Amino acid sequence: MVLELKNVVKSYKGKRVLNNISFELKEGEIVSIFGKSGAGKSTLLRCINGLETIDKGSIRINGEYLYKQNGNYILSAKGDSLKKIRKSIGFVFQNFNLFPNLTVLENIVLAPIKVYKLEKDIVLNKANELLKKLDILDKRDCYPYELSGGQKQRVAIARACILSPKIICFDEPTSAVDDEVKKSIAQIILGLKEDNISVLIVSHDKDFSHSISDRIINIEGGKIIS
Amino acid sequence: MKYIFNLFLSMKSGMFVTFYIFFITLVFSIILGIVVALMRISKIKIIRLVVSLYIFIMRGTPLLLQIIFVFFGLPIIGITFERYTAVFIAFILNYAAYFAEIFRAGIQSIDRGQFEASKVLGLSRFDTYIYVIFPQMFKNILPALANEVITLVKDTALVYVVGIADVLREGKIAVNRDATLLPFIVVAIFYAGFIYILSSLFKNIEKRFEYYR
Repeated sequence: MVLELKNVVKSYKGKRVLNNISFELKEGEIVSIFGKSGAGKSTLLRCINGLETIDKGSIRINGEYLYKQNGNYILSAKGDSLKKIRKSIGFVFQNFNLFPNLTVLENIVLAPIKVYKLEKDIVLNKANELLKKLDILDKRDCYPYELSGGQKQRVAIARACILSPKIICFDEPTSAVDDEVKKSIAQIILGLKEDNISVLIVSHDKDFSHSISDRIINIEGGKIIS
Repeated sequence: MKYIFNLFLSMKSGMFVTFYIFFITLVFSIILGIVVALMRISKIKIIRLVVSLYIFIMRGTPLLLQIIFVFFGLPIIGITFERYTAVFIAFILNYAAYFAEIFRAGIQSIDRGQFEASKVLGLSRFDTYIYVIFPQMFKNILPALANEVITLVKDTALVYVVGIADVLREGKIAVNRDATLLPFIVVAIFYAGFIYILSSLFKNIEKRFEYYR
């Protein structure tokens, strides 16, 4: 299993937004978390990516605990363990969150070079390969404001893929995109599966979720209902 | 014309003093301002409170009074500073408070998503600020920063209160000596020229930052 959630509970100001969430994600599997707005799916994704802490339960990514229950406390991963987790999971935000002050290429290579201290030439070669694969190599030296929504999303995917993660999470990948872009996103996600990367998608787009997922998790009121 | 030229020459050291106070204050207050701004948005409440009080005092009282307090007030309790040191302490502390508020507003204007994207990529807090936040913040705050820097140039004239011979004081001496107001015009030209150069410099920096939106 590349991802394991056990009895995850999360509350905001006394209101439970995640209620005993447990599920697993296998290698190369595409799973969609489907639910209406406010169902807790984005919070779940944020917890899996360490952007929110959890109140109870555990989250394990690629064998390392991101959060682990220890009595009444939750232990969070730190140091090398956290670094390892961050390397195994990529996140494509709903609004991409590209860095506007950096070019497409700089956005992609920033973390591998500055955080993981990988060799610059190797990282640049890999970034170029990814950009070619995603059909945006010609946008390499552009700034995010010069790109269309679809192109920005591809850059965000390249940025999430550069460290060869085991899992890539997508938050609402089809919100505000036309059918053409939707098709290309589906192709990219299926391509990730071919590379044995697991994909976790949060979406309220039923057709899209059903068309590409191996499994759908329905969530309502913070609970998995099916 | 020759008289004006000679006036410029006679006020050379005063011009240097003005520039010196401006430059040292600018460098150190910007550095301190960044630190204070980060403390102002700290998660630790006590740090936020202490820093807020410091900013309130610095912004709530005149700079002139602060210079007087450091140079003439502190010796009463046994803390004595040489006049330049006193001036630098007052100026740097005062301007750091103003810069800190500009930097804080700049940092808080950055979309939360930028911090989150940095976090999921594994960037440390330091790297996040250096590569992502500060470059964006700097672009946003440039107009406010330019205003404050220009105000600093004019505020340097306040050093007369501790007897430092800046350009204005030297102008005043020349006015008394030569019984003409022309030295004041020379002083005005000096300040206006200095500010013109600074304004052009900031305009240039703003243009350089136009490479992204």
